[in-house]
Order: sequence, then structure tokens, then C-alpha cells
Amino acid sequence: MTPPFKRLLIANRGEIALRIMRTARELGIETVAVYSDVDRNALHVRRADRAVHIGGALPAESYLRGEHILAVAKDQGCDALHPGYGFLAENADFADACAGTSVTFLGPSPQAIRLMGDKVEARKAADSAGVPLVPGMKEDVQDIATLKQKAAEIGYPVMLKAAAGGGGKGIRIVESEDQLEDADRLARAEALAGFGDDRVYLEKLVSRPRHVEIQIMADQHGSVVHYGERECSVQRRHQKLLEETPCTVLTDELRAEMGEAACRLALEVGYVGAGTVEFLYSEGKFYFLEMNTRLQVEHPITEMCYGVDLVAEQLRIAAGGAVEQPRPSQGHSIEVRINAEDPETFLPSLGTITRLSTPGGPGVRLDAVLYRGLEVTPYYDSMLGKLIVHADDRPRAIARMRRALTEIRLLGVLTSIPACLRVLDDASFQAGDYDTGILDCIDRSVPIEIEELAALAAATARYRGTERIAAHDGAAQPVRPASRWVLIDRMEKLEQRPR
Amino acid sequence: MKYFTKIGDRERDFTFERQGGQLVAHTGDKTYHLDLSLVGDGTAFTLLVDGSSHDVVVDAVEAQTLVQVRGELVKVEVQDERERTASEVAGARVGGKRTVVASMPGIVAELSVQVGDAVEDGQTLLILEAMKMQNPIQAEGAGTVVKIHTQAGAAVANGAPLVDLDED
Repeated sequence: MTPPFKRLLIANRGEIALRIMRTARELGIETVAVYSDVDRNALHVRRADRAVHIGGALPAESYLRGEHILAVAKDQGCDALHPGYGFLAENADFADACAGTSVTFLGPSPQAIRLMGDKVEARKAADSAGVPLVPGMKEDVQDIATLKQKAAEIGYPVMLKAAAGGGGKGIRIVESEDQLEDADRLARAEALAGFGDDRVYLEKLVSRPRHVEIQIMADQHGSVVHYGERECSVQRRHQKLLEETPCTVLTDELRAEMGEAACRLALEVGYVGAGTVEFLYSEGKFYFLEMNTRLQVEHPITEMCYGVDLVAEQLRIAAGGAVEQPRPSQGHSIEVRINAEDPETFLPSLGTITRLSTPGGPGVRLDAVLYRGLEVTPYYDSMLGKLIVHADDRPRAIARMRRALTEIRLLGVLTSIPACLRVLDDASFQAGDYDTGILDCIDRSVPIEIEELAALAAATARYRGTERIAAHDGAAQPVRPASRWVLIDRMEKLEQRPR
Repeated sequence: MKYFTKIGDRERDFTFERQGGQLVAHTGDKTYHLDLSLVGDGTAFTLLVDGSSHDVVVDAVEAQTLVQVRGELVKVEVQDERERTASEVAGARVGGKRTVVASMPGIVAELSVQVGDAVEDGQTLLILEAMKMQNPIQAEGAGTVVKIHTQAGAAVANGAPLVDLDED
């Protein structure tokens, strides 16, 4: 089989760069990685065929430098560029810049990106494609008095969302009028910092909503197919933590209806490539949320159930191929995000990974950039990777995910793994009866039996250290804990004799 | 010798003995028969507790021990009797002044107070930007700002002092 492209520049970092690279390599496409000052040792650099340094640690000095990255792509003789997600993935100006060159941008047209990237315009397009909308404002309101009046009309609680936003960034929930002014200021500041555009708009908060999205794939010949849904309601700070497919509450009829709505929207805007139409689902109804004009973080669960490689499809379609009717979905798939964060507070956790062992076994896929020695820095998103499982049905998939998560050993930063375990153990999650508020309802503290075990293990380890030191010195001497381990280690090595 | 563990605000104490070759732990009215075997560099070990098997990783930094077991990561403070006595002597806390420290590394996006300002409980002192999120850092109690250790635009490390408050 002839590869659809010869050499691919991956304008991203982290797990998604690695994910794209894996498919490219399988297809016989050469890969070019780009990297910032702090990513020289990153896996996406080490696994690429070629790698080019593009600047400083801050995204604006490296991964967001569209013109420079495009120049690198040309210079390296690339005939295609994959933007991944985040960074330049939904930057219409960048897609525009690529359009006139020999470098094919793996994404939709600049017009489609621009339209869908503007949440206000996107709502208008959805409306005219006959896709249901959540009640709200369709434009940015700068004046705080008008904003207060409109919010009162829509009814609290309301949300302030960045017009240029996505990925949960730049969203603020406002419970009452006295919070509106502060929330507006913070939302605009986040929007400006994250997207270089401070416009925000108002939307009603739908009660007990579920976040359900449809994966679509459109070709250059006017055909669109969908790969069913992904249920992404397990979110903290409006960022997804766990995703699954199929969604437990969708009937076949509703799935078909949502799929058709998503395809209609894609046709309406002349969409080409992989895209995701996000919906809010509540009590048998669905509302358009936004369309992400890129590959999603959670795309692997679709791949597991449909037996498709969405990156390979993106490449094939960008080279002029026609979409193929998806195979029927099989079994159940769950993904969890392994973030460097405190599982109880969800605050970022930085550090160097000092110990790592990864899970394996049947039905387990790990898309991660983890390695021993990895320094987790504050410059980028906190996601270190994703663990994905596939099984015959949902209960088996839950059991498999639990099993795989407990196989992970990772020290140096705190991670979201315990929070994911809490979700898997939660009765309403297991019953499939949950909404986007699920994480607020779950006790995220450590279960008491784990605490007892950890206390016993820590005390035993300490005792064992003292015992060994005593055996060597003839008397127990207090030793600083930091050096205690080194000492024990040395003694263990000295004592390597058959027991 | 007793060993004290503290997780959150829950304390437990353990004593150990050897019964023949067998390591035995006592805590409260419970007794555990243990077998601990070190793996690799000595920070990982396999622990048998009354025959049930646990893969454990222990990362000890100063008095804080991180224990990873069954997918969970637990912060445990461990002290033996001697260390406990020493810390009790040194443990008198100075009241009145409180230093607000950075709960994460980040960049000071906005400084909302000045020296001399009276602040209320929960008032935002500054906004710390980390991993693209704007995180308000708030006063945990009313007081007066007596010193500011940072400035807008500065990068701060985890635990870095930010603002000193003289508490009411």
C-alpha cells in the first residue's frame, strides 16, 4: 500500500504527538517532531524520525509559532502537517497559511475552523442546520448592566463561555448576580490568555446534563459518516476525566438522531476531516454545545469499539480518499486521563517521575508520554497520558479499567488515578445513572481500608529499616529518613546471598 | 519502640516483634503477621499481610512518606517514639502572623492587595496562573497585609511565600 503522504510534521507535543506518530510509522510515513527548550527529552522527540527545536518553553515561544512551524515543515520537505489538539489545531489563520503551500494541513478548511471556533457563529450554523440549541445569548456582551439583565432573563445559574474557547478552558459558572462581574472578569482574562480573544457569551446551565458527543468523518467528496457517541460527563473544572462509549442512556433511535444532526451540521459548513459535535443531553433531549474541528483527546474509545484508526482515516481522507461506512460498534470502551494533579483538590502537581511501571494485559491500551525521569513542568497541560480499555460489556470494561489502574506504579507527582478509581467504584456510575455533576457528589478521600494498609506499610517499612540498621550497628541509631532508604538499599545489596 | 503514623488527622500506633522468624505487628486490638521483601532499589517492596499480597512503593522524603498501594497514593507521616518526643518539644506554634504560600507553582497573573490592606476571610489576594488555569488565592481568615513577597508577572515555586497577613 502506498502511504498517503511521504513526510509528516507533527505540530504538537505530549501523548497526541506520540499517538499520531505511531500511526504514521505504521503507514510508512516519515515523521518530523518539533520541540521547545524543555521538551528535548520528550518521548515525541525520541520516537520521531527527525526533530527540530522551535523555541522557548512557553507555548507562545514554540508550539504556537505557526509561521515558524510551517517554515520548518517546508524546510524539512514535509507534504503534510498534523496539528493534534490544542495549540494550532483550531487556528484558522494557521490553516489559511498552510492552504497555499505544498504542506497539507490535516484538518478542515480555514472557513470551517473559523466558523466553528467562534461559538456565536457556530450556534447560528447549528440553528440553520436544524440542530437544537441551549437557551442563551448568541453574542458577546461587554456592558455589565446589559449582561446582568440578559442573565436574569435566561435565569440563573448561567455560564460564561469564551467565544474562542474549547476544551473546557475559559468557562465560568455563575450562580447568582453578585458573582457575575467577577466571573466575567476572570472568564475574559482566561479567554485572553488562552485564546488571545476576550469575548465571552452567556448560556443557561441545563439541569443534570450529560455531555455526549458524536464523532464524525467527512471527505472532500461531500460524504459524511458518524462513529456513534462518546459519553464524557465525568468532568472536573469542566475538563473531562473519564469517557466511555456507548453511552448508557442513549437509545438506538436517539443515537441515530444525534448522529444525523451532527452529519447535517458538517454538511452545512462544508466540513472535511475528523470532527466532533458536542451535545448536552438531558431527559431524552439533546442540545448543540460546540463542534471541535480536530481529533479529540478521547478518540481512542471510538477506535476500540469501531475497530478504526481515526488518525489513519484523517490521513487517507486528506489525500483524497472517500469515507467508509463504519463497522458496527462492538463491546464497551472506557478511557481515563492520567493528569499530574492532586486527586482531591485537582490542583496541578509538578515534579520528576522517579518510579514508573505501566499496566498491560488483555484489552488495555496506554497512550502516554511517561518515562522515568520525566519532569512535569507548569508550561503545558497537566495530562500525562490516557489509559483505555475495551471489553465485551460495560461491567467487564469497568472491572478491566480498575484492574489496569491498580497495576500502575507512578511516583514523583500526584495523579488523577485515585479520583478515577473513586468514579469506577461509585454506585451511580456503575448503574450508568450520572451527569456532569458526578465528581462533586463523589467522596474523593482515600478509603479507610487503603489508609490502614498504607499506615501499616509505612510503619513496617520504617521498622524494617531500623531493624536492619540495628543488625549492622548492633544498636538502633536514628537516621534521617531521606538517607535511610539509601542505607537499606546498600545493605540489601551487601546481603545478596541465598535465603 | 512504638511507631506512630498520621494520615490526614488520623493517628495510629504500631509495635513490632519477631515471633520466631515471623514479623508481627500490633495496632489497637489488631495483630498482623507480615512478610516484607524489598524489590530493586529498596523503595519498592512486596508485603504479605496475613497471607494477602500487596505490591507497595514507599517514597520517603524527610518525615513525609508517600505510600503507593492498589493504585492509591497516600501521604503518611511516620515517627518513632524518639522523633515524636523531639517534635513535641519543638512544636509550639507562633500565632498572630500567617504566611500565605503558593499551593502550586505558577505565575502571578494579578495581585489584588497592597501592604496595609485589611482583608476579609475568603478575599482574593492574588491570582495564580498554572497550566492555563486562573486560580484565585484567598485569605483563610481576616487580617491585615503586612508584607508581599512577590509581584505581578513573577513565577513562583510550590510553597513559596506570597503574602504575610497579621491576623485579627
